[in-house]
Amino acid sequence: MSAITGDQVAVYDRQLRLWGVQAQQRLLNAKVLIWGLEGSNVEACKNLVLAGIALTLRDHRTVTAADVGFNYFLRPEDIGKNRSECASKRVQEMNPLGSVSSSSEGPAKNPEKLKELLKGFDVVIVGLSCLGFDFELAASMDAACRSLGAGFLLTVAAGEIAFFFSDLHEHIMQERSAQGSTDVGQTGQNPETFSFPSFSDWLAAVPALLTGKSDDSFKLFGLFASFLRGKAERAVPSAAADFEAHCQEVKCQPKVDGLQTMQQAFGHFFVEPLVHVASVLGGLLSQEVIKAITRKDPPLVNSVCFNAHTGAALVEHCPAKPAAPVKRKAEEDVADLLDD
Amino acid sequence: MGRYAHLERALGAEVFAEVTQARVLVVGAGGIGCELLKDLVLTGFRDIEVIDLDTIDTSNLNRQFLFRSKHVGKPKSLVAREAAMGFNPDVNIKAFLGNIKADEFGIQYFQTFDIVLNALDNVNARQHVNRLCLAANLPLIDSGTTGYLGQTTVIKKGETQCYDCQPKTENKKSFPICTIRSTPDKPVHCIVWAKELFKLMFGNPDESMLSGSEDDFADDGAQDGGDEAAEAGKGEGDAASGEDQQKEREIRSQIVDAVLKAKPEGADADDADKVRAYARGVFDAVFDNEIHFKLKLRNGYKGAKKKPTPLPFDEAMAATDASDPSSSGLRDQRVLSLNECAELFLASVAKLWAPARRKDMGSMEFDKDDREALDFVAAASNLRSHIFGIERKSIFETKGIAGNIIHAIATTNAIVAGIQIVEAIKILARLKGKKISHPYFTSAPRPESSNSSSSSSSSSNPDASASPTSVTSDSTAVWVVRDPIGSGNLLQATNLDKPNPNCYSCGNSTMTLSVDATSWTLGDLVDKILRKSVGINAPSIMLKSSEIYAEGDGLEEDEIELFKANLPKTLVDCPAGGIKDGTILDIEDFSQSLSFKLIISQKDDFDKDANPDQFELSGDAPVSKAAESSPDEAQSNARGDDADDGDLEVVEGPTSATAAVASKKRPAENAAVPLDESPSGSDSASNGSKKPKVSEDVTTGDNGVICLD
Ligand SMILES: [Zn+2]
Repeated sequence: MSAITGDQVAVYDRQLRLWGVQAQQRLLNAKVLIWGLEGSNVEACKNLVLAGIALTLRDHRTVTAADVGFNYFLRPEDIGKNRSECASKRVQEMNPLGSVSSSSEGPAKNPEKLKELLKGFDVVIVGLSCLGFDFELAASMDAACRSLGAGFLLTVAAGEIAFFFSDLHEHIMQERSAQGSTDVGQTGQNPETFSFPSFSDWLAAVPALLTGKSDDSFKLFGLFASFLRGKAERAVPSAAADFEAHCQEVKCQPKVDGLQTMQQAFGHFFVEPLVHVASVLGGLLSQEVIKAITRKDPPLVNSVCFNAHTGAALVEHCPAKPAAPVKRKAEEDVADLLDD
Repeated sequence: MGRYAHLERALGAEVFAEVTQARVLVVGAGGIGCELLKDLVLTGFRDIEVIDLDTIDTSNLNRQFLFRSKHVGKPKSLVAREAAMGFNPDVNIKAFLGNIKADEFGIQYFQTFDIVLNALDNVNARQHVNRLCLAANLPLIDSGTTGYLGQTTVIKKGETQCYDCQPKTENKKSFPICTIRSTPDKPVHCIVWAKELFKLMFGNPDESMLSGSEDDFADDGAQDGGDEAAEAGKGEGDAASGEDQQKEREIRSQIVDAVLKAKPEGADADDADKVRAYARGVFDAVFDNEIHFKLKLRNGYKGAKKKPTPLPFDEAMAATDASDPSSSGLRDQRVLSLNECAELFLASVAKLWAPARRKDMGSMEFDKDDREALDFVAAASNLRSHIFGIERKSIFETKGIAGNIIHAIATTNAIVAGIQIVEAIKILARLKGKKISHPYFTSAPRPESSNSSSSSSSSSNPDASASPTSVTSDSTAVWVVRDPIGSGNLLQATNLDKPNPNCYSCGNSTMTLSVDATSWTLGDLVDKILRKSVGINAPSIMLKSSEIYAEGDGLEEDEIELFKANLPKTLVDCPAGGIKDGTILDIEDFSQSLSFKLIISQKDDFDKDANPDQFELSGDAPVSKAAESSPDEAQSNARGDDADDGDLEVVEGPTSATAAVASKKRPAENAAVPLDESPSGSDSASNGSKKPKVSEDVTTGDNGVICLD
C-alpha cells in the first residue's frame, strides 16, 4: 500500500478524521466500476470520486437532451456523443487527485466476455436501465462478480421511489466506528461476517416477496422483476396495461404513497430520474460501497428502498432473513462444506 | 424530450409549476449548500438566492463539489453560483458574500421568498434564521450533519416546533477545571490544558485557567466520574485541604513566575539561547516541578488509580521510545516520540518568539491552522499525556481535538439535501393556491389545542392536517442514522412536534410597528407603544440579545441611570446597532409574565390628519403566560411514543443534529386578543414574581467548567 501524501491529507482531512488513515488508504487503492450513468449512479460518481476511489464509468449510450436535464456531468454540447466519455472528464475535474477512466462497451451476454468486462474491480455498480431492464443479465453479472470477488450493486428508480440491491458475498467487517462519537480512533475491533444472498437468490425469492410482509415499496420492484423476468422486451411504457394485469394475476397490489395506479407506477420506471431522489439513494448506495471497501461498519443486507413521499428509507433482507444471527458458528461452516 | 419533461411527469404539472415559480433562499454554500444548489437547479427551481460569508478552503474539497482547488480563497457563494448555473443556464441565482445576520438580510429581505432552506453548520446562525422565518412567517427547512449522522426538519410558525423550542447544546464540550489542572485521564484533557498553557505564555495570561486561584483538588463541579482523585480528596479532613491550598498557591505562583516573569525581554528576545532557556524553564516548571509538588499534597493523588510521574527534561531528551512506525511517513500522521515532543516544545516556543510574531505576544489566540501554535499544543499535550500515562496523539489528531473539527463527508450531505428538496416540494404543493400576501401582518393560524384526543402515529401530523390552512401537514422530520432502527429504518421519518408554548422564540406573539425610526425616540416607544397601546407595566427591551432598556424591581441604581439615558435617543441611535427597518425587539414584562416580539417597519409618510400619532401597530397582543394553562399533559404522553424510539438519541451530535424529543406540552389555548378590542393585559393574573430569562441559559462558561471551542 502506498503511503498517503500531504496533498491527499489536505483534501481528505474531514473524512480522514471520520474513518481514519487505514480506511482512506483502502479507498485510494480501490477500483470501482459504475456501469450505466443513470439516477443514483450519477450521484455515486460524485460521492465516490470525492472519497478518493478510482472510477471507471461505462455506458454504451449516447447523450440526449433529457440526460443533460439530470446528469450534471453532461452539457448540451455533449448531445450525440458517448455518455461515459463526456461525463468522465467532468467527474475527473471534481477530484484531480483521483483517477477516472471511461468505457463505451455495452453489456455482453457471453459469460466469459462479461467476466472480462468486470475484471479488476473491487465493486461494480450497475444501473438496470443500461442493461435494457434484463434481470437475467443482471443475475449473470452478479454471478461473474462473485467469481471475481467483486461486490455487486444494482440500482433502479421509478420517479419518487428508488431502490438498490447489494451483494457483497461473504463480507467481513473488521471494525465499527464509535457511534455518534467524535473522538478519533475510538473504534471497536470485532470482526463479523455478513452473508449476502446472490441476485439469483433475490429473483428466486420474488414470488415470496410479493405475498410476504415486505414493505410495499419493495413489492413494487418485485412486481417489476416478476413482470420482466424472461421477457425483457416488455420493458416499454406501452406495456403498462399488461403490467397492471400481471399485478392482478400474482395478487399483489402494493399501496405506495404517491402512486395512484400500477399503470402509472410502471410508467415511472422509464422516466429520467429525479435528482433529489437520486441524491438520497445515491448517498446511501455510496456509503455501502465505502463500507465494502473499508470493511468498516456493518453493511446493509441487502435491498434498500427510498420513498420521497414518506421521507423514509428502509433496508430489507431478501430472501427473508433466516432466524439465525449473522454470526456463524464453526460447526455451521463445516456443515456448509459438507453440503458442497 | 426537454430538460423538464420528467419532472413535470413525476411531480405533476401543478406542483411542478409551483416549483418553477418559487423563490428560494439557501442559507449557506458549504457541504449541504452545494448539494442543495445542485438539486434545486436540476429540479426546476429557477429563482434562487444564496448567502455565505465563507471562503473556500482545501479541506472543503472532499465534499463541497462545486469548488476546485483553483477556487481556494474565493467566496463560496459566488463560486457555487457559477458552478450551479453551469448545470442549468435557465436558472437565475443571486449570490451574496455576507453574514446572514447582517442588517441587509433582515425581515424585509426574507419576506421576498416563499421558502428558506438552511445549510448551516452552527447553532447560532441557525437560531437567527429560525427567528427571522418565524417573524416573516416563512416555512423553513432546516438541516444538519455530523459525520454519518444527519437530520432535517420543517419549521413553520404556529404549526411546528421551531429551532429554539428545545434547548440546544452549543458546539462545545465542557470539562471540570480540576480534571484539566490535576486529574486528566483522556487525551482531550491534556489538549485543553496545553491550550491554556498557550494562553498563559502567548495570549492574555489573565484569561488562562492556569493562572486562576481556585483550588485544584476542591470540589468544583466534577461531573463525569473520571475524577476519582478529586472524589477521594473530598473525604479528607479540612485541615489537610487547608494546608494543601496553601501549597497549591505556592506552586501556582512558581509556574506563573516561570512563564511570565522569566519572559525574555528586550535584546534577550533576539537571543536564541535565552529564548530556549526560557522555554526550558517553563518545561521544568510544568512537567517536572509542578508534578513533584502535587504528588506531595496530602489530598493530591491519594486513592487515585493512576499517579502522574514527573518528567525531567533530560529524561525526556534521553528517551528512546520509537515514534509510532505503523502510521504513514507523514510527520503529522504519526505519534511523536518523547524526545521529539520535548524538542518540538522548545522549537515551537522559539518560533512563536520570532520577531514577526513577537508583536502579538500577550494577545495571541490559539488557531488550529496556525502551524506553530498547533505544534506547541501537540508537544505540550503529549508531554503531559506521558506524565499521566495517557495515550499520546498524532499532530493530525491533536488538531482535530484542539480545533473541535467536525467530521464531514459528501454522502450524508447529499442525503440530507435531497430530503430538504423533498420537503420543500411538499410545502410548495401545500402553499399552492393560497399565496400569503403579507405574511407578517396576518396572524398565523394557530393549531387548535382541541380536546379531542386524536393521537395517531401516522406519518402526517394529525393536528396540522385537521387545519385546512396548515402548510406542513405532509411534512416530516427525517433522521439519517448509521445503523438501521427498528424494522430497517435507515432514514426515519417522524412527526413534527407541536410548538412549545414556553419557547422564547415562537411561544410569543409578534407585533409590527410602522414608525419613523429617525424621529421617534426610545422614550416614545416605551410610552406610546409599550405602555399606552400594549399595556406593559415594567418593560424590558432586548435588541440582539443586549438589554437596552429595563425597569422594575431588582435593578441597580447605576443600571437604572444607564437605561434612562437611552430614552431620549432616537430609535436609530440606540445602542446595539440601533433600531431601524426590520429590527426585531424582544419585549418582556416580568411583572405580568408577558413577552412578545416587536418588528420595526420604517415609515415616514403618515397622513398627519388621519393619524396624528404617526404610527401603526398591528399583530396579536401578547397574553400573559401566567394566565395560560397546559391542560392536557396526559395526552401529550401518548403522542410522544414514536419519537421516543430509543436509538434516535445517537443523532445527538456536536454541531446541531439534536435528538428527537417529544414535545412536553402542547400549545395552551391561546386566545389572541385583537389589539383594538382589548389592548391591556392588566386583567390577567399578574403573579409579580420575576421570571428568569430562558434565553440566557443556553451556554455556560463559568461555574468551574471549561469549554473547548
Ligand atoms: Zn419555538
